[in-house]
Amino acid sequence: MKCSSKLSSAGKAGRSVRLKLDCRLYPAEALQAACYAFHGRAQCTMRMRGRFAYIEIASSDQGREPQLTAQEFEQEALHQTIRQRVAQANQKLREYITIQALCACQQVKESGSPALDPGLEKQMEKLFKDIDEKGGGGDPLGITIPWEQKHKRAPIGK
Amino acid sequence: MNLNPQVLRKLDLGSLAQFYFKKFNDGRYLLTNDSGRYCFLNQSQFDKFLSGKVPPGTALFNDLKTGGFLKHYLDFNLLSERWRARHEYLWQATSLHIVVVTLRCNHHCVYCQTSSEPMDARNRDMTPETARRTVDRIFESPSPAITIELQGGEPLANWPAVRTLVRYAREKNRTAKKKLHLALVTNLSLMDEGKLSFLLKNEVSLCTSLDGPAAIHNHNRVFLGGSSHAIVVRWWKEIRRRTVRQAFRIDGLMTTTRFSLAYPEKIVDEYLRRGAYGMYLRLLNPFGFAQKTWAAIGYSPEEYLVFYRRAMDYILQVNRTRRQFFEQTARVFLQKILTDEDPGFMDIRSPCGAGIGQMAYNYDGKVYTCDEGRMLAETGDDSFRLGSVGKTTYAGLAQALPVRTLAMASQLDNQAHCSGCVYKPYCGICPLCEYAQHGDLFARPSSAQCRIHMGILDYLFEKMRDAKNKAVFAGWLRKAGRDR
Repeated sequence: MKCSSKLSSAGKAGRSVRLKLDCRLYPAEALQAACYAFHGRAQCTMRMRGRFAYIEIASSDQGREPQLTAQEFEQEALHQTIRQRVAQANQKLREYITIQALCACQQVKESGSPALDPGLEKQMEKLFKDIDEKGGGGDPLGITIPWEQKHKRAPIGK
Repeated sequence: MNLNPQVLRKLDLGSLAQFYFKKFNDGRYLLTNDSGRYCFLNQSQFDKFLSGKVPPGTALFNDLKTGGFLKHYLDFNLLSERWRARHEYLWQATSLHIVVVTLRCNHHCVYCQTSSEPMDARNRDMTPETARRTVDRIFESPSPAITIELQGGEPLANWPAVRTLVRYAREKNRTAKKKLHLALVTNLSLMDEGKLSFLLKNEVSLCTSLDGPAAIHNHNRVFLGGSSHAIVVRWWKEIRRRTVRQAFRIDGLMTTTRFSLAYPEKIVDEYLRRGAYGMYLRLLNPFGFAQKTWAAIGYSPEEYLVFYRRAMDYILQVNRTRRQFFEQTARVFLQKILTDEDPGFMDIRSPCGAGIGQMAYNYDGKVYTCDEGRMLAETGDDSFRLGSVGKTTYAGLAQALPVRTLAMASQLDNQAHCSGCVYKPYCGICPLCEYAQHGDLFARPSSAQCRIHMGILDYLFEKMRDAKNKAVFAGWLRKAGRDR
């Protein structure tokens, strides 16, 4: 796997830069996120051809060296790739922690045990099933019930 | 030195718990996670962390382990408890109720965000009947703590509505027994002894605009009846004298305009002179009159951040050499960084407080998701109206479509850029600020609030590298969290 980039003079003032990036290394989604991170600082155009992404970046800062912009973009692409891979690898754990907090459900007994053991997987599946069945909507905490109705009090001061 | 792409091959996803990161200019990486824990790593440490090669038993390994950055050592019960504590507001109903009793005002502030109208304007006052209905709706909220904040225009221009609201809320609360906090936001120019006595007797906190010394304040807050600053100072002293050791008191609210940018130290000094415990370096919002005058009084996020850093440097110096004195935005972020308690600030949380944490009631009884929603309505956009106090129950207001829309739009996990941001555990966005500036609800990396929040958080984390500064910041928090 190799990441390659080259400069071009495609922009009006010769200040834009074109990068060719290997999507086996940097997934397209991570490259899109990197382009978005440049929002307001540069105009990024991304085209896919085969396993390569061709990205043209025109910096809003006319005084900025194109090579610096290219380096900065490649670092951003690398950071976004790490973020996405870490997020994907931890998605179920995060959902489990959030759902456990939201449901105040029975807590995992074996604290400190390795992540995603079969018991944990089972509990998570049960939680997801509960959420799916109950719809996740409604108002289980009674947040929208008027205070007087909730506490069965007569209207006050009218 | 930058990260090498080869690091992707060595990424040890089996050992890495969820984390967010950012590289600072000095080459160090800031790591944060959903529990709000953070640590700084240098390039070599970061490389080792990513490849799962931090030697067990070292100080770095122990820091990463206790901070929840290593997947094999996560305590799920603890993490769930922390998540719950940090999102405590999700289990609470609407607690902040902003009531605009009139749009009339006798000031002509250059940045007026409330679209106030002249004192002789007609049909811009809340009637006593609407005031009572408003209190009825507010008390329907199941929240055990209620704050009613009376605003304008200048609220003292409609004294009958203020008096009705205060009396009726206190009367209702004799039975409801909620934790009721009443507050009045006023320019103090229409204050008199009778009104003040009534307000203090009913334990109404007061908040007034104080933009700095007379030259700055009067430049921003034009009052044809005299010096606005002199009036504020006169009543400030009187109210402070009469509220010593009381839970209710007078606070100041400062708004930053282009004219303020050159004087951060002088503005801080003004608050110190008034004996304030702290101040809020509030930035200008793109609503109401400020939208029209932006070219003359507005500034870029970077210009504001230069001002903010100068003011904060000075505040830190004051803390080290004279006395404790806080800045409010910093304190909100610091509470999220240094403790597991949410500070209850509606604009900096995920989702934001629109509808679920706060509602705004206009003089005519129309109810909005928040004051920003009401301000947009004053400029002709009624999109964030929930109903009206005469026709809609609290349940109807809380379940209205704009409430759900804004809750979803301000959830940081739903934002393309925020979801991976290093500051996600501490941050929040106001979708209506985006809407006012860009016409849609979603935050983007180039938006002013994103750049300003990131700039302030960069500053705080940079400063906390020095233990003395961290000690000052920790002292600002009333209830310090566990030591990290």
